[in-house]
Amino acid sequence: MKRGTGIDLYQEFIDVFHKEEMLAFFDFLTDRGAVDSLSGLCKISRPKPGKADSRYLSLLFIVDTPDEDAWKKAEARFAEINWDGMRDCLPEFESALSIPFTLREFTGNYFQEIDIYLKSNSAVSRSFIVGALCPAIFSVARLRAGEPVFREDLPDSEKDMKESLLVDKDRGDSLVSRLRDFFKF
Amino acid sequence: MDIQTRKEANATIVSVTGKMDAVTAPEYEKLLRRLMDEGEKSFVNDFSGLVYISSAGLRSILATAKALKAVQGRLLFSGVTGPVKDVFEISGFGSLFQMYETPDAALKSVG
Repeated sequence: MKRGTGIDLYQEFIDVFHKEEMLAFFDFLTDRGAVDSLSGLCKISRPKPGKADSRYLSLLFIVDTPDEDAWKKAEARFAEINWDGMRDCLPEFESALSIPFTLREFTGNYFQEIDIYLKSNSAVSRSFIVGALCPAIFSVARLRAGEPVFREDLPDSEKDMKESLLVDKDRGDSLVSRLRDFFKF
Repeated sequence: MDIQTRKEANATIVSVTGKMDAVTAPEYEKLLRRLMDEGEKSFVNDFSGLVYISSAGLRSILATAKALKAVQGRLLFSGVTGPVKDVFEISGFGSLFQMYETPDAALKSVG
């Protein structure tokens, strides 16, 4: 789990995270809470206003993996999730990008980021996260999870958040656009 | 995990050593809640002795921060290094909270 030489993708990820803001988080157990499930925390973020070229929500899953076996188990669990399955239960869903990444050293946690791209007329609110997004995540990823805990100032209504999701289409800083820039594709 | 607290003029320093996981994180959260109930609103978490933090530890910190925000309190960090620092960076905690090299530096910022 050492990061590669030459390309500092780790730093790229960190730079992107600094341009996102947390909306909410929730606890979860994998495998619907089965005996051998893994526990973790999922952070739901969005690009800070004016910092992205797409309407996406970033899901960062932080899984407790105190040893290498647990780490491999977490990696296998997340590899088998079909995030495109969210299309069946989330009308606002457009696409998903799964981004595993490696760390400089073993921290005892497995990290997996999923960027969920939403249709252009989608708005994000507490009710959307609680009533639509989270149930879709829990279903597709087979999680048993707690109620999301929200950032204090997240508006309740869709209308209140529409403006904050308006984006600069000329220059973006989403992870995808950053990686595209990085690899020039 | 071991937790030591030290009351300073403008904040309470909470020194956490060892591992903060599902078993020990509630202990941290409960302690800070009790201190909040006693009127303390500013905390400096000295994590220089913390070697591991699990999702439960992150959750306890977020829950504590949320409770403190409701009473206009403050939660600062010092001495976050190594794997714990990596977790903070990746989870975004590094930008959610004010981080300092030492407890003294954090205390100065509390004023």
